[in-house]
Amino acid sequence: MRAQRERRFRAVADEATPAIGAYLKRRIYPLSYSDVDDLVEEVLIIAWRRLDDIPAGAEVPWLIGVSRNVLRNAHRKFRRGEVVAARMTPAPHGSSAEDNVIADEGVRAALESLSDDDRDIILLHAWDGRSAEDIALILGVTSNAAAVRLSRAQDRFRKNFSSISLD
Amino acid sequence: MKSIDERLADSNPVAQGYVPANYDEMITRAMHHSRHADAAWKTFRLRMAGSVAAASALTVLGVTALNGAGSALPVLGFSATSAQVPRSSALNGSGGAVGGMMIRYMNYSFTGADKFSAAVGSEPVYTISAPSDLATTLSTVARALGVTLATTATAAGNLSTNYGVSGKGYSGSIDSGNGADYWNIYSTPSGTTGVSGASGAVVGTAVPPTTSTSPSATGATGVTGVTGASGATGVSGVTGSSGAAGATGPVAATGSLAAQALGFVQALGNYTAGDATQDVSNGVTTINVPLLVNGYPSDMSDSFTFNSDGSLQSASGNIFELKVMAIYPLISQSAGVDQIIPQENQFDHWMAPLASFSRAASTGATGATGATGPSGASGATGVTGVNGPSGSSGATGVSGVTGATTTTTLPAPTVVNLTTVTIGYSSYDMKSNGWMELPNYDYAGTVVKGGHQVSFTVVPLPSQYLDFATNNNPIPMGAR
Repeated sequence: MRAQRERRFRAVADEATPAIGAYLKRRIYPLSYSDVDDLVEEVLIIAWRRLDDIPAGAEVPWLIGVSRNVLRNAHRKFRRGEVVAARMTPAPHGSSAEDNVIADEGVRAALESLSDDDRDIILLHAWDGRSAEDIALILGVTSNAAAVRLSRAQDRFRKNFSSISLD
Repeated sequence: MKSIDERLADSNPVAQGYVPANYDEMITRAMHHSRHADAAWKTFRLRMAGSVAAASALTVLGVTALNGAGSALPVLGFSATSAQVPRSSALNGSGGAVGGMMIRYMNYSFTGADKFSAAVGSEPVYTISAPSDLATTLSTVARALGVTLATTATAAGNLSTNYGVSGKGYSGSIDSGNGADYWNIYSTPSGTTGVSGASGAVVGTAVPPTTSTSPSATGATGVTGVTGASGATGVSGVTGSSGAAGATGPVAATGSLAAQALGFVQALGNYTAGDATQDVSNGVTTINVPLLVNGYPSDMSDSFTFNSDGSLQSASGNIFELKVMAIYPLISQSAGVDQIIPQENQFDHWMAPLASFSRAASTGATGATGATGPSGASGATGVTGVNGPSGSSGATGVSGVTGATTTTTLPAPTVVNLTTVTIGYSSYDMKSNGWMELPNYDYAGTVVKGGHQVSFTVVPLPSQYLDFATNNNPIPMGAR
């Protein structure tokens, strides 16, 4: 029984780890790259514990959903520690982890002008290669809602990009 | 010129993917991580209860006799060390928004409790501890397994103390958690032998032509060329990837490898071993040995993997020491079913909170009756000294408005038919006394609509011995 469980976990981890690691690494700022392994391990611990709940065929998006929350908690802890220790200047309001790693000024400006939700959904699609169905699972909404939200977010992104480029 | 979509894709800062360092260690650590060690399982605290007298007289008397006359059993209280979100968020019902994240609760109901035993019982509760000198402990483990770690322990991040070796030998790691030390040792064979270098080309020594003494004279034969230098040694071959897992599942472990594994368990700490199982895949034999607590399965086990030649390929397991703290009464297995939702809600926070849903759709309180109106003003005194008329009574206050009806949407109930219950032990964190191994009832069953298997765990101590009062911070479902 345990060996069977371990085999499934191993298979899930083998498939999902590159995706969740990349997801976390893209958004790790202001934490450092050296924290990524710890967060991946935290996600895998949750995966092991909730293995029976991971939907077959949707392991990767399910674990990206977990990664999203693990990362939020890590960011929250970091910012709490940052305030207490007053060691670093807080990140400017509205600056996201993604904004800080994008070299393309136009793309960065257009993403910055979006809401957090729009930015999340666009980057899940563009960077993490997630379909609307996957995004639905990650965000806990219906597939239809995810498709609509993705489409609208893309429209807003393109519109903002065009107006920024024209300025 | 690139399109906006291409530029967005190109801005991906991690386009090349992610490869974790020490992936295998990461996987094995995750698999040996107790479910009770995460943030949702908060620190246990221990305090003496004044309410023990309220316990079932018969049971408590029996247990008190076991623990020594006159001694009161402590209440085991959970405390939240770091609230993640305020509890009031849970009162929004099935879809409370917390920090922009939606909370999704499950709403389970159970059938099948009547099939389980109605008998109460008692079992010991243990404190569990482990050596804090991890480097020494890892060396001790290696000696027990008959292997040698080549180098000295060096700290490697927050999670583990790692040994690294070069060449053929064994590496290991160890970290501490859940009251036990978790160790992992694995062989680190050198790379396969490189291919031989190509033989050097035979190069003949040039010999100047001999001046012929006559037109017919034959030139001298050149000397044999020297043998070419040997080719460079080939690079080490890469280690082959692991083969696919075999289809055969684990079976009861027998034979010399099983005996060897059980011998390791004894050498490691004289632990009580449960029924070992073995799994053979591509010539590699893995033997899992559950470690029992009080004769029951626990959340600890040792695992040994042997190569086809019988040599140890890897091993992992726990080092710990148990001490009986007290013997507690247990509720019956059938009564334990009623504790699934309250306890899961306290610990894992994904069940529909009973308190909030019992308030669902309740009628608002009736408005308070209006205050009596002010008394009428006294009449003016008559000119001729006659008494004036009495003042009129004040108007009656208006009735209060009936409170608005609260409406809450319950998540659709998921009916689970429970089929089995087993007793086990698992670890829980205590604030002042370290970790404890507490008895569990592990229920398993089938979701009626869907057919998939689910399981639930309950700490079956009577409620007066468990204090969940301060562990009431729900976490979003997404954090799982």
